Amino acid sequence: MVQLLFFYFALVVIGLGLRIVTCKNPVHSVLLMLLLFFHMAGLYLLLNAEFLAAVQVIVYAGAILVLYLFVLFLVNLREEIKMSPFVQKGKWAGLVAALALLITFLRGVFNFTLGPHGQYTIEKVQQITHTKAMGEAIYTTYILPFEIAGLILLVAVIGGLALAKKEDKGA
Amino acid sequence: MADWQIDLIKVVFIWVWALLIAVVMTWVERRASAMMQDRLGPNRAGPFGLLQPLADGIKLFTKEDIIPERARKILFILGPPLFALPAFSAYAVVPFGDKIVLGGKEIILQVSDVNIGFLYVLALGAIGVYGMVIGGWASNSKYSILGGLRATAQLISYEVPMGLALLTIVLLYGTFSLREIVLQQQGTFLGFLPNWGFFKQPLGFIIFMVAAYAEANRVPFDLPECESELVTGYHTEYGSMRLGLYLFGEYVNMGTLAAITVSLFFGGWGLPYVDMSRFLGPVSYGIASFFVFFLKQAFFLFLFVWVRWTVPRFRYDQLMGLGWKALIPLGLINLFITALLVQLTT
Amino acid sequence: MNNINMSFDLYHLWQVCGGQLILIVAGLLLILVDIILMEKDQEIRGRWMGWLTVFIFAATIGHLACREWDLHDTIFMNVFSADKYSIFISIVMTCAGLLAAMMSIGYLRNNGLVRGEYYILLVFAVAGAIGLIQSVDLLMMFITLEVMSLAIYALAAFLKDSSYSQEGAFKYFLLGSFGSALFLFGVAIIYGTTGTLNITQMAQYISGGSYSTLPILVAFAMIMAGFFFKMAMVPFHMWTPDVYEGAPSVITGFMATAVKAAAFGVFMKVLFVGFTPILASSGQPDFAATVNLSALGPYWKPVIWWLALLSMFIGNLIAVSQSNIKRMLAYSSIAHAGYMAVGIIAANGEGRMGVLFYLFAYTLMNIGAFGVVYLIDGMERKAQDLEDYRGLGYIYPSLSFLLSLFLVAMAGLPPTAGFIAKFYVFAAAIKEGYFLLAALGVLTSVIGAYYYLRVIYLMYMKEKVKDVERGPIAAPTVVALVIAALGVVYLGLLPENLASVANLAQQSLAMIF
Repeated sequence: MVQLLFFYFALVVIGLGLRIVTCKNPVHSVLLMLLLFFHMAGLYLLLNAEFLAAVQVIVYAGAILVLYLFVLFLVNLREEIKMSPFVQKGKWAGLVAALALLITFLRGVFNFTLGPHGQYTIEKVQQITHTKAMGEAIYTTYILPFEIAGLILLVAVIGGLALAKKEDKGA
Repeated sequence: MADWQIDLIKVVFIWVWALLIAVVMTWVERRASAMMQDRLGPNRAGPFGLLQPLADGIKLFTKEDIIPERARKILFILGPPLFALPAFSAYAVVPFGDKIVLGGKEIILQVSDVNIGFLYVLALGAIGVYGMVIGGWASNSKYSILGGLRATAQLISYEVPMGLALLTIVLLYGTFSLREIVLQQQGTFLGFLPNWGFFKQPLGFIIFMVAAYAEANRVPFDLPECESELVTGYHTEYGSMRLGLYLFGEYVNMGTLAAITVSLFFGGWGLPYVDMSRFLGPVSYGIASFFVFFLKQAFFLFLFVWVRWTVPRFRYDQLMGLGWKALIPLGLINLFITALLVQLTT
Repeated sequence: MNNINMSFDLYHLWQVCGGQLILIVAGLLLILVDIILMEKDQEIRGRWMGWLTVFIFAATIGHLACREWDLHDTIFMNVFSADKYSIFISIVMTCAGLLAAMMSIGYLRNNGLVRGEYYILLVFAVAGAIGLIQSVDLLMMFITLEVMSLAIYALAAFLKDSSYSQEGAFKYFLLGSFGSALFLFGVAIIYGTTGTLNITQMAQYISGGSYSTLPILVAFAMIMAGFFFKMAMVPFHMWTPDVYEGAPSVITGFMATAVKAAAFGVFMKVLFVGFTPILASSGQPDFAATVNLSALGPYWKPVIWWLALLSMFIGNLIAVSQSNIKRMLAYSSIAHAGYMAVGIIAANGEGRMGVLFYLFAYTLMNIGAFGVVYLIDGMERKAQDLEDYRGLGYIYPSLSFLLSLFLVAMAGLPPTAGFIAKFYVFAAAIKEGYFLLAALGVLTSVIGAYYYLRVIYLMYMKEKVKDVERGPIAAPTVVALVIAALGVVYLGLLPENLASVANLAQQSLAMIF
């Protein structure tokens, strides 16, 4: 049952991912991405990670995608994009490279053996609830990466501001 | 009775309850507004006009269903249900009463006590906006797209202070489960106040309330609809039952928000100072706790109506200014102080 | 593991990550200063922000060189290490930041875009780069890599009116994200198989027998590919010319040096600590088994052999046909990445020392060259064609002399730092028996000499065809150029001091645990 669910979510995620990239209409892409995020949340739920699942929906579906839509509406593309592909030459070379990459990935993944477990076993996570387990891990072991991840956001904000703000001519 | 049967009954019950509230609210809204404006309001259909919602429903159902020619069909159809469904689904985690003992079986009056309780509510609230946005975009009309645009910006701006206000509650009670939060609110605080979130988090409550009004698109924050400038915004092009679903979803949404407010800040089903379970039987206690919850919810529902007919609409820049320059800093300060107090007292 | 202290201790944090802390706190303060100066005249604002940034970088270099260099206490909370190796590269990158900041004061004024955000982003970029080089934890590496990259993406797009700048930055962003994704994928596999993100613990685990299994090899390849993107090695170099051409000249200089130093530094750290037996030489019984990791050599050495060769050839050959000087320098930077990779493939102490030396020397000459390019430009893109350089030698003798010096250094002619640097890496390669690679490398530097010297030829031997008006020269730019020029000559004449320091630094690589 769990495996069946996993395969359902995984296949839908991959299929939607492909569709999002090939979709000509950006608004449709965003809406398909919304669907994709729900299936990602489903995958998290299968991992007993209900906090991550909720945050996935709140942050990605609820905030980031809404922002995408906001921008798309402002740009207001009436016509569907008829742009030529990014790279025109070497289509086949690209396909070969992508396939080679895929085979590499798949070979790596199929020969995968799980390494040693950390202190958070499935039983422990279920017992203390996922939210708490994650909080403990983030605010003790991974406090430094967590703090510096905040710096990423700060830099992104400043960069975005620098690029988007209107030039103040003169003084 | 098997567990799944009990669950089914609870689901059906909550569904009907949510519907009923929404239906009655349309009537309350019109009667109350009439009262405030010294009019009579609908009073023809049934006693006090109580059957008016039914008449409206029949009217909406029997009207011609029009889809504009240039609209994007699938998305146009998808919009209204996408708006109404999340609002309904949020009821699943609302603890609408304590517990009831039937045939030796203890039944919790809540469809599902998931331990991420109100994150689930927040997530559904975030999805609800897609109904508006998709509807507005699919209509292919200028008013609609402007309405959708405003809805996105407004939702994002007010989701942040709402989240900040809710975080203080998590800090106080140490859980996301709505039922546990309500349970922790029984008893008294400082000896004479009811042990409610409202008294511990007055600022959080105010921020939450303001954000809730914005999330529900109610006056004074109904910029996405805005009859006078946008011709009702995102649902300009909708008619018949599709429009009905939008209007309906809005009332369901209000019901959810009122229920969440009650559970988080006003002790849920508990009466202040009185422990009902001591002198009521197990069955009657369950029913009584439900009624207490319902009364509190009804008050906040009425507050929505009250505010709508007394406060003028904000201008758009004022709306954004309030969200980003007032509520978010206040929310951050509140969160900081709460975290400090929690750290110092435990 | 020994000496891994998992508790958080502010003093310890300051000791290990002092440089980063200075930069982060200073960056935050700069934001405030920018707000305070908002009402002031642009001129005053630019000068204040610029000089403050210069001061911050100088203070950081001082702190790194005096306080952290002699630190024996290496690991903090399993994520950061303060070893001589990291500190050396941190100093190189901060020097690049310092020179770039000094030049920026004049550059921004010439181009009329005096903006406080520019300096703030520069400070955060260096902070991220130092974090990247100091981290021994793959997750931390990814995060700091992103801090650095995001700041650089924004800086590359800083010329808002120039479509070249926008296009370049966008390509950089897309391909950079792709590279980061590959890296992250590799890290995920590593974490799954070994259960750890720390590269020393990872080495310890995989040396227990799983080193030649497919997942580890795939992860290894992904991590390498991710870094090759940032290093601009050949199959992953596509973004380089467009980005280097479009970005503000000073930022191009900074990108070509600091980002390259960070990428090479952290790549060597991951490669040698995580995937080679270097830890076994530390004498710690815990790491004795990492001797096994030499079995990975046949996997990665041929890859880098070919990539180094391709980088040298393609970089130098395409540079010959370029007509824009920034584009030409971009291809030359690809070629230089190839030379440095020769030092990596040697995989011995001399090779690593050579790469460190090369990074330092390359920083001086490259930033210097871009500094002159911006001065001759006046306003961005006014005089970037090679044709514009005809006859400049007699109009602007001192600028032309400086540019000639830097170009000669890049061509690798004595008596400059470029010659010594190339000598070290090729000597190391020959010592390990890579005669063919070294010979081909020397051959490609002959090709390289052609296009470097052509610029000098144009400047001194040709009549001018176009009136080129250089922009006003700011004092700090002159100071920066003179420092760079003196450094290039000094390192060319007396390389022993820096070489011995670099040698100490590379030795400390075995002591990261």
